[in-house]
Amino acid sequence: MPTLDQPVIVWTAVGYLALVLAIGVWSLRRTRSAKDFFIAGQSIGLWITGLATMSAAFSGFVFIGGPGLVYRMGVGALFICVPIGFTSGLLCWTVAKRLRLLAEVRPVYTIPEALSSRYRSRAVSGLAAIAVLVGTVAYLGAQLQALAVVIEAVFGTRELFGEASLAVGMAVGVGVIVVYAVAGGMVAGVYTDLLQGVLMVVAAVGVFYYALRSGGGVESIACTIARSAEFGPEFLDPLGSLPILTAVGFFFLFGVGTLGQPHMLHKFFMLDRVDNLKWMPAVLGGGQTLCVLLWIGLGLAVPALVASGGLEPLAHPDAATPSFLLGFTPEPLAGLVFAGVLAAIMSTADSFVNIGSAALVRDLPDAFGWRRPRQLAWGRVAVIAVAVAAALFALAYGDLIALLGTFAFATFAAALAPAVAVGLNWKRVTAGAAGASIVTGLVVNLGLELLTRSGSIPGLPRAAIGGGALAGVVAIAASFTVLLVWSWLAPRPTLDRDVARLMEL
Amino acid sequence: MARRLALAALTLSSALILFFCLVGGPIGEIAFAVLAFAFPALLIVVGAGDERGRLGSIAWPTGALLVVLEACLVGMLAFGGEIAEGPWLLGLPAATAVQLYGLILVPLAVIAVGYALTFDSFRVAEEDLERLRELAERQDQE
Repeated sequence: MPTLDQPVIVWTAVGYLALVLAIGVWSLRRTRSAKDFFIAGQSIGLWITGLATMSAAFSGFVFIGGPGLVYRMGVGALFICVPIGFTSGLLCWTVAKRLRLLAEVRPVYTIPEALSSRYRSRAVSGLAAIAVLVGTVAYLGAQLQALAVVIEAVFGTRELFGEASLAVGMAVGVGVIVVYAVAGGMVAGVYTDLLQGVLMVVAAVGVFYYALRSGGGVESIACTIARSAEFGPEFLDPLGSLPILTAVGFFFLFGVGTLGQPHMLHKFFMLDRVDNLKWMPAVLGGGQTLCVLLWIGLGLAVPALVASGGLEPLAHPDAATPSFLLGFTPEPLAGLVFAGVLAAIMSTADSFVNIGSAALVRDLPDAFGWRRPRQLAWGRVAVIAVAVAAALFALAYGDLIALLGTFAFATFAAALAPAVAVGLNWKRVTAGAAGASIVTGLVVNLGLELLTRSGSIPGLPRAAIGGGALAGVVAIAASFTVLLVWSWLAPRPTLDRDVARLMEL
Repeated sequence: MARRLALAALTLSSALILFFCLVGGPIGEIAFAVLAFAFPALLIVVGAGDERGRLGSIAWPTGALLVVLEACLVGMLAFGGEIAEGPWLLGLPAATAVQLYGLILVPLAVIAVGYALTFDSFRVAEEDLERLRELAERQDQE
């Protein structure tokens, strides 16, 4: 990434980080119980929940990786963000009401606890907690690595620290996240998410305007790309720029897979009233659509600028956003966007430290039948442990970090989506089916990731999938199949009466 | 009934998606795409059906979503091969326009409006909530 150490950008970033820390300190006084710490006291309204869900769902990938991926692969890569057209409704119709009702009548703060209530099974809850921890360390690791890259670019730390620059950037990022997450838990998390969500929307809309202006409008941009020798018309072909199994696989993975993302599902526990769900798809989906304007705008404008000679060909696709910001936007907007990038990364990261912490101090002790430790105190200790573990993981496996985000998303999707989305709506789903589905999702996703990278691991055979099929899609399809077939064949389970009634409402 | 059918369709779809991912081939790719685009609507039917599995007022947004997604797939396949010479729509080649406007804006409008307009049909009444709390308390005591 090019160095961006202009004064306006640096001071915007410093101001943003200071504001986030201030929210953490302010939230400290509002965090008095485990319920406050893990689900913000179940007192959050529609707008904050909607924007917090949006900012938790969108990491720095939307701002940096997304446009770069389009530059490299063509518009087929936009199938990653296209599902936002329906995912908010899918979430609300399928799981939001049931999760919120569960949290209304039982002390449910986490997805593994929701599954424990639904299936009356510690094993299911424990397996879900393991899936959450595996995905959390990978997802958080990817966010921390991205945070370090942005801090390095904005503050120019490479000149000061040389090769240790990324580690220093990561330590600073972990420090800020830990301070506000430890102090304010989810109260701080949702209010910083609100700030971050607003910042992301403003930055995205601003950049979209400059992207269109730089290329002379949508039609001019598309014509320039289609006529260029470098990109050509196939760049604009949604199902031609990538194999269909890959392009539609992105659509399936990032659409259906949303139902298994604990950092999004977790937000529904916090909603103050069930009736506030009424406008949730509009708020959540609308916010997401405004945010991806940056992804789509730069994904099209940067190739057009390169094709017309307005920009040098990019040395690395991830340079698409910074190169455009430095050359085609006013400095204050560039500063705002980089604060938005920090916001996107940190809002996702803080959700994960909270979820990972809950898995350690609530879900795993419950699964093993151990007494829970003191929630608030140990929850804070666990936040530090999860953040440090993810940072060490990211440093150790730095060269694979770019792939970790997708792997982590697929891990959650394959392990949790069937047990949550089908299990909360169909009484026939048994604990055995849910457990088998979670194990299938975890093992298939992890196994295929290893096998598809078998070139770098001697002795492993190549994966059997071909033609561009994604490992995550295979894992999701396998876990859905296991859960559904098992449930059709197994005897109908007995449910707790309140859970059975809840599933009828 | 609708929910039961959707569950049967989901079972078949997930198994076939798995199969087509492993087998691939031109026909397999298209079949995979058709099933992948139908999957979200099937899940909504499973989630939104009432106690007896009926859809009621939710049928129209769910049906509309299914039709929009599948129509967009057909549109992208039909216009995909002719980006340079084919028709353009709202400043983009037709296939790209279908992908961006058809798959993001149209479903969002259908979903957001459909969900809000039908919300009252699946709203949880205060007395239901109270009954649920009582059941949970009794369950806790047992």
